[in-house]
Amino acid sequence: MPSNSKKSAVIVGAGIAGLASARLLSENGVDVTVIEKSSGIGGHVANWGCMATSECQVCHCCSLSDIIAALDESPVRFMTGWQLESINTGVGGQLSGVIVVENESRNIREIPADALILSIGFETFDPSSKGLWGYGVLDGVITLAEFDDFIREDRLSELVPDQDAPRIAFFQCVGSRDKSIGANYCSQYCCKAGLRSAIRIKTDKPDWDVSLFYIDLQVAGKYATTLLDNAKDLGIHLVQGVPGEVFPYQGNKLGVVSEKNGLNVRDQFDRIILSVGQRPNPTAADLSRITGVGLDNFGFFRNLEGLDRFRTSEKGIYVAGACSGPMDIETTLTSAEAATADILEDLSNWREGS
Amino acid sequence: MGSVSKPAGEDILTDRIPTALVLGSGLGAMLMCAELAALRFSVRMMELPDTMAGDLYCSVPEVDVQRLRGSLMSAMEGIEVFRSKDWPKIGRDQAGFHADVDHFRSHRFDTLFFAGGPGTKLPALLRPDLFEPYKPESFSVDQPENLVFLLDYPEPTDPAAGMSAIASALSNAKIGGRSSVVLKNAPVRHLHGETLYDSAKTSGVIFYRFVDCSIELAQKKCSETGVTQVCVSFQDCIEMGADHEITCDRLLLVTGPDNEGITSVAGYIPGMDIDRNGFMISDSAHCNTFKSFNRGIYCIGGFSGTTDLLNVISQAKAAAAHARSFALACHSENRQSVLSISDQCIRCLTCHRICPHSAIWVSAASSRSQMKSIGAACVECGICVSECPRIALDLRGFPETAFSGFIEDIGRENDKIVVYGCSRSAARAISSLSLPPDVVFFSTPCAGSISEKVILETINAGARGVLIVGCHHGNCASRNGTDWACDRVRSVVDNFVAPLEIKAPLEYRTVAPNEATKLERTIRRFVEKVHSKPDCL
Repeated sequence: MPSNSKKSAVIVGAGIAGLASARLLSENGVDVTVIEKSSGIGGHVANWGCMATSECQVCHCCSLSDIIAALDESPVRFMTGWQLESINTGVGGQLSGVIVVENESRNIREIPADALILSIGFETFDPSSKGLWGYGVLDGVITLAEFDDFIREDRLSELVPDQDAPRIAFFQCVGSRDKSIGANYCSQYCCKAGLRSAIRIKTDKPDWDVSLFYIDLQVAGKYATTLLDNAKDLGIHLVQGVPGEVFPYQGNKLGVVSEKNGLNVRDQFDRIILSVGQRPNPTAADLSRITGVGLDNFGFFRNLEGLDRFRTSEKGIYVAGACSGPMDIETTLTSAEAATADILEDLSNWREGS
Repeated sequence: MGSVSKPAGEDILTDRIPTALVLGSGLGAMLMCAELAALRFSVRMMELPDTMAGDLYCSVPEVDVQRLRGSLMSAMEGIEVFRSKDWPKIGRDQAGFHADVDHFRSHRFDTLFFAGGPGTKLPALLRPDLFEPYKPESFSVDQPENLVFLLDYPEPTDPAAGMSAIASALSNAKIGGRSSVVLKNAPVRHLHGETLYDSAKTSGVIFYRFVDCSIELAQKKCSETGVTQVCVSFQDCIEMGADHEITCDRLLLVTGPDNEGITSVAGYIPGMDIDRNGFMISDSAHCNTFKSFNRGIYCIGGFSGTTDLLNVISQAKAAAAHARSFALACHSENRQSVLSISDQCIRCLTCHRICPHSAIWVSAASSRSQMKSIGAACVECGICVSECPRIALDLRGFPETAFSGFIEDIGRENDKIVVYGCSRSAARAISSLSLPPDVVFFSTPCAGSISEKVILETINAGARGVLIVGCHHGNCASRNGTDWACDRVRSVVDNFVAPLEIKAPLEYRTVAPNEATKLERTIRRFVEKVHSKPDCL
């Protein structure tokens, strides 16, 4: 087997996808540099708290810590505050290196690269762009990510300060499966994330009333059925049909109209948590221009089909994680590590061919 | 983890080709073989008896399953496939895995893969003459038919299988057939799932939603044609607002992977367990679903609980890359001495029995058998060391003297509150915290490495309180290390602390590496509890 030890890879984006690829490539003897636009690493997952009750709910958030711990002992280089400027190609259009630029100083550096991974992740949907849910107007309406801050900072009791037994509602599919905003796809992570959050609340605060409004529950994977069973056992109200709008009700309450047995029912809650969907990262357009990797109708990177789904139209450029389509953490990790396998395969083939 | 990438020029695989055995059948096993071959493994495949996978996967917009099967067939050329009526006997020793087949052939492997699954689940409560199981890969309609696809009955259908059923319903509707889909939740969990659902609705597929199990199935003879039909009646149909009834020629039941079948398969594999959903246990919380607690063993496809074609492709690729780094690490590092076994060993087999990573084997000899550590499999959790009745085991990276030295320090400095914590969870969470002055934190490889003896000696040395912090249940990297810690604390409290009226509080708590704030509160509360006990001053 030809040695990969002198081969190098550059990874754009230090979210959990980029870091998982970096770890596995490095463990396989590839020289890795990770470029990150912002000042920190970890991406969205770094801001998510642990969802464990008395038992792990398999949210995979702590795997970020495992990956970072492994990277701390590896020779992987991190360049935070840098962005991809352009790519260099050599003989036969083969990628040979990348030019990166530092945000502040505009310093420019060239890094040799036999492979380039795009792992820039996603952007969460901004629910204020569609006024129906009262997000940004009504105080009690928050996103799932904002709710998660209460878990991460261990202050769930402060979620509704003036209530002993508040009523909480989760709205699923906010910014997903919505043609009007160009997002007629399932965001894939939110059913399980919403269920875990609801279970977490109900376990810590059994007196609270928790409802989860959904269109269609997507229970996939080995632990999904357990989540659904746990939610039912704990008395979480699972209600099919997401209310269309939220309005102020009796002072600081939130009113909704939901459908029950074909009839409209008025209901009121203290907090409404919006399970916001995944939207393509707006940076994808710039990177598409720089690298030549196209975008699909939704704005995600266009990958090849079949067994080549981590490769792109451009030789030597790969996609990992949610920048090629919405994903949960588990799928993101698998995709990032799968992209690694394709790189290892291509690097050894290319060496023999040249 | 623990394996570190090699310095340049030390890629050991240049002169030694890693070997792999793929156990399974069907598409998953072929995918696994192809990916391993692409990473230059020497691959052998063994078709498992009792399994009939191959009907689990269905085409998705990006992958046509028949074309994929075709391309995998050519990739399989040159890969030795052997079939046996019996299950192979699989074992592990210092040189790797060995599979003994037909009682006389013995093969050795660096890595082992379980790929495939024992078919789809069929509920026992349905009369078998009323329905036929929906097999995504083999299902096709040549002429228009009157079909009903029943999903979510009685348990939620796997979305991948559900989307395939919608695609089949759509193709029947497109050639003029009548397709009805009866479900609780429309499966759309794919980038193009919503588009598929929409086009099925606009092409005339009728969707019915039901609540709970308000469905009844019966056979009925059509009055016009005399053909026997299946009649599906709903007591509570959401779409129609009231009771409703549909008849069809064929009722296709759409389910998911058969987890009960997996239970019987796993019985043949030493150290393989079944998780709470009936799928093969995997170290899923830390390393994703295809890695097992036994380093070097990987599990993909239906065995791991997925019927999603895209997911199984990713799993096969990722498992191959992990296996390659595993082969690199265990051939380049001298790992054989991470655990020492002294001649105090009386071969009681405790370590062999409890090791969560199957990293200890018995080397049988005619004169005297010996316990041996398998370095490549050992993750140095220290659980075996903590349970050894003869104190014959010791970890090179975390020797017993580390505990005894620490306890001596506690004896010298009076009135300390000791917090023992797992290096994976508590130690990482605590790194960002400033501790109260009288609290001492000691990081251990796994909470399960803290023996009852260590707990008692710490109390004896004069600690004002002992708090043990492990990972959450179900999140332990050594499967059940945190449960060991929990049980030992309970046992020490019941047998010593309570009867002897020891004043120093002893508690066990769990935490994740990203729960610094929770750990801070846990420690603060424990310290308050210690300080509220004036007797132990």
